[in-house]
Amino acid sequence: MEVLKAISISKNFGGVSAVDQFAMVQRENEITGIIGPNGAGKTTVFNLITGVYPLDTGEIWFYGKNITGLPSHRITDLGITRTFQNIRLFRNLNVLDNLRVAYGIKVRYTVWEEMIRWPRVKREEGETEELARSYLAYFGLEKYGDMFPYNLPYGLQRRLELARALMANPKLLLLDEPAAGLNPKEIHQLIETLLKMKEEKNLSIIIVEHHMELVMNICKMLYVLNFGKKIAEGEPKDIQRNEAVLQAYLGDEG
Amino acid sequence: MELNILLQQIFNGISLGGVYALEAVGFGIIFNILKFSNFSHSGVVAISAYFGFFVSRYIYTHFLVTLIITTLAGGLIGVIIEKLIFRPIRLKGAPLTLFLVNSITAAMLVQQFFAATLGDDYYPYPVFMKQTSINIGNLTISKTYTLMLIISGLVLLLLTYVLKRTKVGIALRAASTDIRTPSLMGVNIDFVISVAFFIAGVLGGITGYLLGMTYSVDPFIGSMILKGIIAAIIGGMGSLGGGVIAGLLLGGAECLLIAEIGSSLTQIVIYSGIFVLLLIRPEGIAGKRYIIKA
Repeated sequence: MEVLKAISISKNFGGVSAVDQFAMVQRENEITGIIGPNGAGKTTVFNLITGVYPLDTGEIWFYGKNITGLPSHRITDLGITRTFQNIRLFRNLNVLDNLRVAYGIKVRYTVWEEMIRWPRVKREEGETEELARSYLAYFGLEKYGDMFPYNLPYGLQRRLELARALMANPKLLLLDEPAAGLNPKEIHQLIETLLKMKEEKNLSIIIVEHHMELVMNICKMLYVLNFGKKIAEGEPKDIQRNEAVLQAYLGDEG
Repeated sequence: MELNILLQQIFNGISLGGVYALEAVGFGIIFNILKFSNFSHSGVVAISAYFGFFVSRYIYTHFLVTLIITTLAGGLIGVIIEKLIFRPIRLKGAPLTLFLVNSITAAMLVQQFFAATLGDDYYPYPVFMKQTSINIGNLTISKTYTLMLIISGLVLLLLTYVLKRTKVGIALRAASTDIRTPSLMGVNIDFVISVAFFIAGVLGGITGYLLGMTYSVDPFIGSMILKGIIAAIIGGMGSLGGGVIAGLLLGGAECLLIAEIGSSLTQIVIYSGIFVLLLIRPEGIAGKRYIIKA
């Protein structure tokens, strides 16, 4: 089943082409990698999928629904959530509240109902808290609920971002360099966690990553970008031998 | 100063400070989320002050009822101002300076509108209470000031609850550190900004009503929020709690000084004192060295 389909999407920034006629297909319960040198436009692809920037050309479909041009919060609501290359936790909210923000869209009561403490509000607030705590436990963060995120070690901040991305109950998860700044042991843990999450929650995942071991190990399909253009796609073992990919990474001289 | 006069002035000061605190928070909540100084808040205060006057004078003379109506009207005015003059430029990605310019222009427009249409007269609110003061021992406490204190206190408590506990409050706090990320967490940021302007408008509505009731209404009543803006800055931009504390201190200092040196000299001392204070502590009372933009 096709989860996500990008049809020749492009984005220009002041005449510089960040993403040029890129196309991809994401299948259900698979992990796909987008790789490429720095500045190849990988993060821009995520920003286009999640509606941060409008597309210049192309269309994006999600579970058979055209989501092109929808505002970000609607796209999140439909089931696409993400993490960020440079961690973007809310520094003035404690760990639990960071998770609560992401669940706001799932609870339907209004601020007026909240103020009179309507029974439904109490029930749903309880559910939110329970869910948040269960995700903290899932990522080994249960002790840190009341702490502020930037007092946590870097590796735990990365996990908290993952927990927050799961709070909105996504079908598709976009991970922007989830292994950046992690040590080899943490990367090993991350691989296990991602595979476990994928199975338990029937998730589809797209990863932008530089860490080749991680990408080669867990991705079923890879897309390779260079200067905004797709230069290769295929299974990891084929990509490793692809001439154009090697050239993009090593330069023309090699 | 005699003890009873001292106590009386402290009480008046804290009551007045409560209104400054409302102003500071109404001003600060927009600064927190959009990072510009929203001088159009004075327009909301002025419109609300006139609105409260006409409603209580000609439609229904009841303190609490007209206060609530004016408060809601203030919230609505806040939302309308956002939609009319801030949302269009925000969606175009305009720089912060443009927000500042629009906010000042809106404030001037409101002021000039009232000066041109209703400017010749002072409009005193109807007298809601038969007695204007209560005596406790040898203290004489003004009922207006007591109401000001109670109302400011209640409103600030309610706002604390909304910001700490409710869904939209948490989203508002999240957006105040990073306005781009909440929408990727499913938060409708346009709605959150509308709510921020509604809250600021509600605070402006109450401020306008209380100021109008205490001093009578003229076209320049909006400029009375200058003290609240100063409180927000002394409190530390970005810290609503700091603004409340600064508002109370400012009100207290003002009333004590008035009793000691008279009202005209007091203003000079206070405004000069603010320069000195910000020289010593540019981040304000509770602020974390925010760079004050626009």
